[in-house]
Amino acid sequence: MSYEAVVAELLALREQVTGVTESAVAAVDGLLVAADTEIVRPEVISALAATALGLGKRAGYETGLGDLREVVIRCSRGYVVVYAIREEGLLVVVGDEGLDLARLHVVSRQTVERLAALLVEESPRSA
Amino acid sequence: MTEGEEIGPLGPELLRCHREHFTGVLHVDGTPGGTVTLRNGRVVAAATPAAPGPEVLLLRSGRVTEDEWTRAYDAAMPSGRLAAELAGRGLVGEAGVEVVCLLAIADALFAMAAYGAESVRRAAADADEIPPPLPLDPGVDARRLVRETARRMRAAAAWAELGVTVRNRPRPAASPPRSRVAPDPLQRHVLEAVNGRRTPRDIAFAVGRGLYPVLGEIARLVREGLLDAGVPIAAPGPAEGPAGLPRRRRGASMINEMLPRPRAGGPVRLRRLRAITSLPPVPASDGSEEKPDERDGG
Repeated sequence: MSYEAVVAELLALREQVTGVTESAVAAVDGLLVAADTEIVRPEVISALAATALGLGKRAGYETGLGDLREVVIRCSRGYVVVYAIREEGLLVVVGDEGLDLARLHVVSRQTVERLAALLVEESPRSA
Repeated sequence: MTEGEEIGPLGPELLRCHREHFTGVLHVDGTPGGTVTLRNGRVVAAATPAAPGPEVLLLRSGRVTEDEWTRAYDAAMPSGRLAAELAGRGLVGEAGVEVVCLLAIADALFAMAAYGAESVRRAAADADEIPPPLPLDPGVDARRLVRETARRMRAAAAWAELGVTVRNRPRPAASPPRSRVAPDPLQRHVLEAVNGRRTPRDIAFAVGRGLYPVLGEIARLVREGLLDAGVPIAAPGPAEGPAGLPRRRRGASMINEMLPRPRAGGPVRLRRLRAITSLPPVPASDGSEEKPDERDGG
């Protein structure tokens, strides 16, 4: 079942990258798909991540800097990082101030690829 | 056995750096690995995602507030003399900063050794490189750090026999003993932070203490029956997928056939995602179901 597979990806991300504390997958409009959260409210972080992703894409377009890689929000106690999953979804990762950002970027690329496959493959083709 | 090898490849390399009066940075490869900055063979800083740095230790201990830190940091950054700036503002004495930096260095080395350093690379001093924010001046003798790290690794080996390692996610004990003296502040903070999700490293960041003291406290609480060590998680290998998930074959999803460059925001993509949104508790939408879109119908 694909929902479990999505959650398994989120758990694996937390195990593989030092400093990842929570994460969620949502549709590009912020609708929650699955979450591995502890403190943050999944629906709220999904909606915020969707907005951040939109702003990031828009800023990249406006400044002629090309396609968005990810949105990184750095606060005094940690990070919120948002990755686009193709055109239709997003992955938002929350980490503490010790987050291994370099490794997150490496690992999340593959996570995003697999999430994209999971999200699209599972759904029936609309007639 | 080469001297210092008991703590992994970092030990012998640190001792070599000491003998050669090395100035520069050691890049420690591992998961998560880290860096050690040396000046004339003495360690002035060490950083790893696996252990809280001096900033976390100073801020979480309440000795410096976030506002004060930010103001001191902004003022100090042109010269890089953050320790003097913190002391000059009367926030914490220079000796206090030094102690915290020393603790952070020793903790970072322990963390790198405990998580497993795979190899160490030297990078000579680069004038353009941004120096660590709180370097120890004149730095700590590398031999002393190797000895201290070895001592800590021996202590950690005893904790591992209780099942407490850096890769465990401890959880509250199912039936903790009734009678017990009141926990001290660190124990209380650790007990509050343990939730079955966090590793000792996560707990160290949450409570703002070093990985080593937190790991020791967890071991003590496990021995007293207040915590359960939890199941160890596997050491992650080089970036790859989670075990048990089939490797994705390129093109297997046929996504390129299904979605020929869809434009952002289209309703069809949302519907596809919805197929698996039924399980988590998603709040009821406001009923504005997406309308079918002829352009993108399928």
